[in-house]
Amino acid sequence: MQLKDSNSKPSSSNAVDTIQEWLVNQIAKQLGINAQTIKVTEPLTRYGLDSIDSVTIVGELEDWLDAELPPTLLWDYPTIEKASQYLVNEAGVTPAETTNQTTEVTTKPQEAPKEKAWGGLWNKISGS
Amino acid sequence: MNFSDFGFWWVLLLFSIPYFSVRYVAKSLNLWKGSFDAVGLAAMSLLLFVNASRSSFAIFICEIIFNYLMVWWMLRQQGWKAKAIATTVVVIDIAILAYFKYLNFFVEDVLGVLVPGLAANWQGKSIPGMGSIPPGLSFYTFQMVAFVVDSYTSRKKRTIGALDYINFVSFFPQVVAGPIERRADFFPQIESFRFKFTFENFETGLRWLSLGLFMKFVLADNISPYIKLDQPDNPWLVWFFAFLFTLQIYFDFGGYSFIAVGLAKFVGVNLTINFLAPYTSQSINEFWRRWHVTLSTWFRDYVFLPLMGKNKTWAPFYLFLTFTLSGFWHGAAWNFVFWGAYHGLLLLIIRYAGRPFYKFIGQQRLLMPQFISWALTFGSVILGCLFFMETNTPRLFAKLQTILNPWSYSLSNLGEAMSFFSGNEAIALGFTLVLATTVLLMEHIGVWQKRECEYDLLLSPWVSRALLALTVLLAANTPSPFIYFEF
Repeated sequence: MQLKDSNSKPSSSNAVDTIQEWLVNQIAKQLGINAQTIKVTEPLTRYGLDSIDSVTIVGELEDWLDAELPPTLLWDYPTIEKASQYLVNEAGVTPAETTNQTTEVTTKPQEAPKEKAWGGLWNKISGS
Repeated sequence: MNFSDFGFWWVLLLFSIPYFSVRYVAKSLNLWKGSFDAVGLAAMSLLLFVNASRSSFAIFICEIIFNYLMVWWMLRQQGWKAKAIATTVVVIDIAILAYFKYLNFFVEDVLGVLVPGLAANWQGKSIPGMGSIPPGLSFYTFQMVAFVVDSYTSRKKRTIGALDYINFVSFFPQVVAGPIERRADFFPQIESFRFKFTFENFETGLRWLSLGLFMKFVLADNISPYIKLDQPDNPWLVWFFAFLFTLQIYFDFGGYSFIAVGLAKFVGVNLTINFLAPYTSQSINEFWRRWHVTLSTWFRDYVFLPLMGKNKTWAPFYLFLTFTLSGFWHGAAWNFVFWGAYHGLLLLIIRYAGRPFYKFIGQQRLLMPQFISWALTFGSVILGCLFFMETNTPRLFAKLQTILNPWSYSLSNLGEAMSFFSGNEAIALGFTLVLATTVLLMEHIGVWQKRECEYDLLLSPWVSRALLALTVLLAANTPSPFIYFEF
């Protein structure tokens, strides 16, 4: 694992947020869905992410972070939140962007809009 | 081990009483060495294995010695030599499995199709080991193969103790039918093993045991007698029996796995949870992350990922191939191959055609998209179980023809299906299905509430005690064999 620019180490929550944002955008692009609808706490299989996508995204994540990552990352940590927290807090990976605070965040992970009617009822039942 | 066989529990008891009595006395006199625990565990596991199957035990012992010596040698070599040893061990392990499990199928169903008369001629021959598959062979072979690969790829080439290796591959709760444990998770717990009889371990173990016993002896075994395979003409019955089998196989194998988790917990070992409420899945992708987790991850790590490598061009084909092989692992018969291929195909359909559908469904507000996704997934799993349960290929095709024919869904067939069981049978089955639905509902709630474990509600103190009491009251008089023992 590589830590970039250790002299200006960012707060871990900032690094987690940056990785989450990157993953949200990348997964939205890969699956062809609106990034706004992706919840970081939801299992990625709920958006249709399959084995091939998982390995592909981890490959791209490796390039972005310039770090060697386990190809099973998104199986072992099946939500964006868990994967990001693992990368920062356990694997010690930090994205370069967070060190100089220049990241242009195009899409901030947001809570999916609450569904109305029966969909809303379903969400209430499920506690999501 | 066959947990539904009284022999297992008797041998466990007859070994445990003298062993733990001696241990207690020796400990109080400061004569007991910690390493005696590991010796005791190995003796207990091997004794239970001999009791379960002598033929399989003989193969098992030969494989343990061979694998241990080869891994020991491999860890002292570098580069191509280590790789050559690892490859040799894996090939020989798989060859032994193939000999016992697939030789008949290969000669009769593959070569037999090409060479007329070969199958009949082959059946007349008496070849050693061709009668039935030695119990547990598939599971301990997979665990040994994984150990060789993990040892080869591990950065630290530490020497492995013979006793630790024996305990790793023969640990009695899981050796015969899994979970298939991996070196990184399991070996550290086995190294310098000590019995840890704490109140917490006992309490947690009992809860898993209660859940497992209830699933197996109350749900799976009470559903089993109602499944009739010889009804290929009525689509309502074909679907209904496939549905019953879908429930049975989960409660049977889930039950086995949870009993194994509970027994391991009693002695202070944490096994992998092999099922994560699979019938709550909202896609086939999700289903395969929840169903038979240790087998799925085995195929992922030792088949799919190595096949795919860095080149993703052929990834969809490798995904399909991996699932077909996984189906073939379940049994040397065409129906298992079809079952694996069917699931591989479903994943590809979802990948290429399902996403636009998901987007469409996801935009709906009135149709409860999660419910639709769940219903489609569960329906697909039931259809898959039809492939899995029906080993008679011509009858399988007849059933598929029936369910695909819209005209066969007639009211008269529905009436026949409704009156298929007698009054008492219908009440007994209905009651079992209510219990099964309650268990599945509690799993759903566990998932919806994003609890730490999907089975949290079922493992809560009062629920688990109620499950144990219900097992005593409602366990089937004649337990059916564990389905996965056939594999």
